[in-house]
Amino acid sequence: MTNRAWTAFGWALMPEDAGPAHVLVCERSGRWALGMRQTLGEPAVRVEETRTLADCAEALARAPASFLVLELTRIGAERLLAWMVRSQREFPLARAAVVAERSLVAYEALVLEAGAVYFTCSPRRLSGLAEMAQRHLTLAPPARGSIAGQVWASLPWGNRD
Amino acid sequence: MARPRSSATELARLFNRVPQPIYVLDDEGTIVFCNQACLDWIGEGEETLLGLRCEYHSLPDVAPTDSLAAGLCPPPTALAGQEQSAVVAVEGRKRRASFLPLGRSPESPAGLVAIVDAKDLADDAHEPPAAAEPPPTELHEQIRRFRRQMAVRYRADLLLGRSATAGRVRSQVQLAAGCRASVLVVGPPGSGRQHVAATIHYAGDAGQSASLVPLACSLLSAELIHSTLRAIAARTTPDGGTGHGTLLLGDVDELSLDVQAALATLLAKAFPLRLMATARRGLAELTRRGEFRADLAAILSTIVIELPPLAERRADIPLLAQFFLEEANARGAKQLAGFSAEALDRLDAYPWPGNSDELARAVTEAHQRADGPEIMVGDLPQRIMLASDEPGHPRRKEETIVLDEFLARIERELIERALARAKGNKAKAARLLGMTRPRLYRRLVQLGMEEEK
Repeated sequence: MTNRAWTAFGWALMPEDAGPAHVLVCERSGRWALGMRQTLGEPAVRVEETRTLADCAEALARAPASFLVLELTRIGAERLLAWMVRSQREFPLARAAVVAERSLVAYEALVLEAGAVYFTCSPRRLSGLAEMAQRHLTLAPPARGSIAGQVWASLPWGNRD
Repeated sequence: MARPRSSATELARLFNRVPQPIYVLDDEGTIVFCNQACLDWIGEGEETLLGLRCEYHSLPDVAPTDSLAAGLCPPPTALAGQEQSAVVAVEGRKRRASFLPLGRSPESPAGLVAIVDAKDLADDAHEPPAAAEPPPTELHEQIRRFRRQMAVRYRADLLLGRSATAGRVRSQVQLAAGCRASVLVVGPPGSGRQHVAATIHYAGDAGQSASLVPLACSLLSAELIHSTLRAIAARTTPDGGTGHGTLLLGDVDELSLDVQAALATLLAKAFPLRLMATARRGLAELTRRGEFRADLAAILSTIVIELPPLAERRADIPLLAQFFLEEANARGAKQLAGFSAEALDRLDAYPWPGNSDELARAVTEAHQRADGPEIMVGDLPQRIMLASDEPGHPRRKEETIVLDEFLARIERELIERALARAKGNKAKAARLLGMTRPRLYRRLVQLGMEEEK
């Protein structure tokens, strides 16, 4: 979808104080976020890390058009699937990919059915995922608010505080 | 003199003294015995449980007793004669059970004894080693629960609306669910295209046991689409596995012509999955303009369901708004009854460029703000409150900027932030800004932030 095509729909769904879309990683250890940063070439693309689904949901509420990378674990699988299905209604502008240990490769079909746009078990081969994230961010609607506000929010090295 | 007890009675008496639930199945998987601990655990009597046949499936929409039997079902390998441990469940409460074949011969047991743990499994009670693959039974149970939730979520009767359009869409969904023809759902963003497609899949026979495989066409490269579809075609067979599943191509009108060509070639052969697609624009019009291939449009459009913008079915707004309100009620402690008449008028007057998705978001925001039993007009998002007021308010004077001053202000702020981040170190600040130190110094002087030395 072109950026112009997003104008009416995307802006209608972006809250007044929404920040710009970026990559939001929810995982236990940090290795997937590291892999994404290396593949994407940050600071060109901002990658934010969270450790819990609750923190991820809060971060997504601040930037609802973001691209999520969610780590699937065996013990949290059902909770993650349920959250993904609910989140499609609450955050229709966001997209989610799922990453996991190789032992969980059998969950691929289930994860895609729950709404994931991509699934991978390899932290060393993230080029397909990175490409998809970049394409999503290109298509995402810009943040609402002033132009200056959008500039500050998009700085990779944060604000003045 | 007391009659001696029969061995069967004595055996039952012994089992009834055991604190763990025990049940016995014959060689066809029919429950033939439950001890008292088992009846207490399940909360049913012998008349309900004895004679139940346990079948190994994930079907969500079955009678309660069939669902109970499925939760107690041993894994197929146990019925084939292998001693096995697995998780059984009753109304979501899980316990570990050991299944012991009773045998004429190991390969053809006469039955199975199931000995169930006395306590429910806690969520973190048995975290397996990270490297271990989940046993097939665990994944099977998860698929079963997931499909059940999805079948409840995506029901044709939940496609709400009293308008003629809503009725037409429900009829088309029922028709599409009853066959395997390809379906194209066309509508503006936020009109519920994906939801309608998912409803068709889960309402059909395939939805109860086979996967819905969505592909986000706007995000995938040509190579990835091609390799993904080839992999899907290679791992499915028409007579089993995911062969009755559904491939859902999202935003198919966003595909470039070269990807469309590759897709047309792949899908023209007998593709093992049912085809569904969503599009923002009608493919017939795009084909006439040369922007979409006619052969691919034909493959994808046996049934076409058009979803109009929400502004064209205003009669449905009150019912949809109430549905979203009740969803919000279900998510939290606050329970609201509905909307004031004035709030409904405002909802009706707003143009809804974001369609149902925007209405859902607006109702969620209003629900959070409301502190009475109803959503009042003051609880609605400002853009909705003001939109219908426009004719009554004088047009605001257009605000202008002076571009050079505006850009200089932003640049000054950027440099100040970089310097703050670098704790005053100009070399580091210059690196943060992607420029050389001499250039940073020149900009500082030009912007009046430093005196020329």
